[in-house]
Amino acid sequence: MAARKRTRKVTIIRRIVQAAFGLFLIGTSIAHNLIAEKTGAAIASAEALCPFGGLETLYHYLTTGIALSKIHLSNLVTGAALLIGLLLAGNAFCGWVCPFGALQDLLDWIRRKLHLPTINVPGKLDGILRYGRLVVLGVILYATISTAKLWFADYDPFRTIFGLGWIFEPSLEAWPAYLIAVLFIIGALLIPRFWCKYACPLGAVLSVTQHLSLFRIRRNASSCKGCAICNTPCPVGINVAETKNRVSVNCVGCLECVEVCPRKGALELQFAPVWLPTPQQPEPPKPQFNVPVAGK
Amino acid sequence: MRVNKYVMPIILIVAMFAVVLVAQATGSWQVTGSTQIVPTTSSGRPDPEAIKGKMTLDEVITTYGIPQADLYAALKLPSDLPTSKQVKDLESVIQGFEVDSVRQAVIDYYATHP
Repeated sequence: MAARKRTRKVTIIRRIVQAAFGLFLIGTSIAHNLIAEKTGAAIASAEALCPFGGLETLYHYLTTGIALSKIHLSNLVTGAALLIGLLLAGNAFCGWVCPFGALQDLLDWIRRKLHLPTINVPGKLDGILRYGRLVVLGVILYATISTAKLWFADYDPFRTIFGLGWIFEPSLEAWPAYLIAVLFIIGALLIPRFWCKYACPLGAVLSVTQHLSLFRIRRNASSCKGCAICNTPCPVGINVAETKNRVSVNCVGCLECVEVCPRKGALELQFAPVWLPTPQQPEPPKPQFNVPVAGK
Repeated sequence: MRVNKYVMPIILIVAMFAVVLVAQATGSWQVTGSTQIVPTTSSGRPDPEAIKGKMTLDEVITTYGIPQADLYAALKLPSDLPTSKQVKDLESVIQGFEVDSVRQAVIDYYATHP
């Protein structure tokens, strides 16, 4: 009960922030479909706000001075905003802002409320599947650069779901995109943060930039008592309790582990830019209790 | 150095909004219209084949340098039709209208105005 109470504050604030961004995106998308499509008013579509679009077009823009078709200046701006945010604050975008992450958290909440089964991916398989993000990113970048068009737009589940085309302009021709979106929803219902862990191309980029972040969550082994309570709330199944120093690059910066840790100083958010030396840590003690890692 | 855990999301959100606000202040925040420069033909003029249904009449006029009066006459559009109308929506104005009609109008204009 005490641990659950400790999670509430950061969880509540995070849910509010996620809901705010998610509802803003959906509202803008509805307004775009109802008003902008008919009058040409400057109301953003979901894809106009997607920072990944800016990253997708970056190569083409830098080499030719031309952005890809379907890309707006706002994509480049949000892409730049995201990169700056990442360098400053690591992967907090994933845990606090990304509407796709918020949708997955919502689906996970629904799963728990409905007592649906969850798939626990075995550790080794989970480790291999995590590289899926890099594969997806590589395929997207290769296809985008070689075709010089926004290739992923026709399959992107974010664009499919939040663009609301399935409501306002349903089309049988878009069946591949609908199928991918449905598979995403099913996956997210069965595995917490399924897309983030195994398929998100933006997450693959973030896993690299996270190394440059000014802030990082660090585990202090000398303060840790090995209770492993920190493993329980992690939405991406990181074994926080056995982290040697800094938490994995798969971290989404939700801060739930920091919030729930009962030992002051054991798990902290630290200002730790890459140019500062990493403090040496003793070998972490094995957890005293067999608290399973979520999703594993 | 330990910091308050809320510093990370606060800095992230503030930084992202700051970039967007700077973009808005400098006129770089555009959520509509393509940033793509229209490809050109061998003659150096914008390629009419690049005309898309989502382009507005104003964008066609501006990009291809065809006067509004000439374009409207070629397409038999009412003179009071706003130029903010998208090409794909001209179906509701002219029965049987197709985007190709706009492309052909520009091609014909180029042919008579080399």
